[in-house]
Amino acid sequence: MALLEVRDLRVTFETHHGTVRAVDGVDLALEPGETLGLVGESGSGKSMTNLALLGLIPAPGRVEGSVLFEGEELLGRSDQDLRRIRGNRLAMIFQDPMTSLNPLLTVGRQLTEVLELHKGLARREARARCVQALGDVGIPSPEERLDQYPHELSGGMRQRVMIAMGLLCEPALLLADEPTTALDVTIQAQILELMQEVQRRHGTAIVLVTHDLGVVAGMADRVAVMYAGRLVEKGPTGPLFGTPLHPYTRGLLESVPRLEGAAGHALDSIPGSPPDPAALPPGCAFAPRCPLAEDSCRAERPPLVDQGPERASACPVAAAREEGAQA
Amino acid sequence: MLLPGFCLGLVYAAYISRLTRTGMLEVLSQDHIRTAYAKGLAPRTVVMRHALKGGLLPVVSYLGPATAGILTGSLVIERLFFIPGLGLHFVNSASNRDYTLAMGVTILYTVLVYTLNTVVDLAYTLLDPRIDLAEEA
Repeated sequence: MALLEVRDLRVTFETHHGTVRAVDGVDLALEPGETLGLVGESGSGKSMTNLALLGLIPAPGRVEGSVLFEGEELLGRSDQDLRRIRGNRLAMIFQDPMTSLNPLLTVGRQLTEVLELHKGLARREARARCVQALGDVGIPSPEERLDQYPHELSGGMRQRVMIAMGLLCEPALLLADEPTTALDVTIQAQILELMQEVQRRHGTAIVLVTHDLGVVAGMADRVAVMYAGRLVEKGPTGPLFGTPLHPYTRGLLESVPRLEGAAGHALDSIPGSPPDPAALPPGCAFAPRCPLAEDSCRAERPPLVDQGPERASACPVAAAREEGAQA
Repeated sequence: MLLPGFCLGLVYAAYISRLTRTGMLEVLSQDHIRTAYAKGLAPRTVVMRHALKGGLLPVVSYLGPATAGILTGSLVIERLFFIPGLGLHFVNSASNRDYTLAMGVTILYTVLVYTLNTVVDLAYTLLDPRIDLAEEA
């Protein structure tokens, strides 16, 4: 049985400018111990998808669809029920460890409260466990760190604390929302390595949200590409990066800067910018920027169609061309 | 004594409640509050443990001038309720051209404002660990 099964997840916000579809019919599945990379530009609905899984969509937002986690439906559950799962079976680590840790509480207090809450440990036992947890994520002299405040730690340390916090209750699924974006490259590598190690040790499944394709290539077993709140392509990491099916995925991959190639050569980019989520075009949301766009793309929104083993893409035009080339 | 006290405090109570509201709203919109919810904490715990301390910082900084204001602002109230207090004394000294007394009371008030503001500044270090008075920039 899949650890996580998301079906037709929708997150909508009613605003003065109309209904904003932040997430618009996303399907995902995740097996225990697996890593899913969720990529896309800013505003494509990656983070909203994650927050929806935790039931933490901010106030006016509406969530519809189905989220099965360990066989239980999460959507529509009471806040009290969800609180037992949050931070316990299903943990999340956030992008910016500077602002995501409470500046007025010691690291220790912020860690121990998780164990006190979910495991019912006394402060002293919880503290001992936290010392161990900090040691596990590679923080030197963890005992002292517990009594420090977040501002006394470096960025990398803070992200390690975040990860330790997420893993305290040994969750089955860790939602990592751009865990390395705020860090410099060497620290990034350390943090990713740490996450992989943790995954190996505990068998934690990870949903890795990022716009850094390099990170996804190194970490994820499977990748799902989001654009304007929808999945446009998904598949195993290797084949998806090797032969991207959707023109948006191609565009993303081509816009990755490369070391080889002539100096002074302008970086490739996808022309245009993502559509206004309150006024999505009727057809494919990517059509206005797409080199392959045909009239049919602008008329009707293409669904995500299975193409080959475990792969799916929402571009019939590219698929037709592919077939044409093979024939 | 109840009614004068009430009158004196009412203005400040209103202002402090506004300050608390603004402070709390600001803190509750910060990222680390989302982290707290993501840990599975109940809304009450999030507010009391994670938000209140930060939300009260602006209130604390107002408490210094407010306390001084209550002590010095009592002159109108004392007049209204015929309480023979320091404020009334100050007004009388002015109308009697008792310079020495007027100056003395003024100095007393000044010292009050200074002291209370200093106390508040020191209290800040207890509330917010990021503020370190010993460290020179």
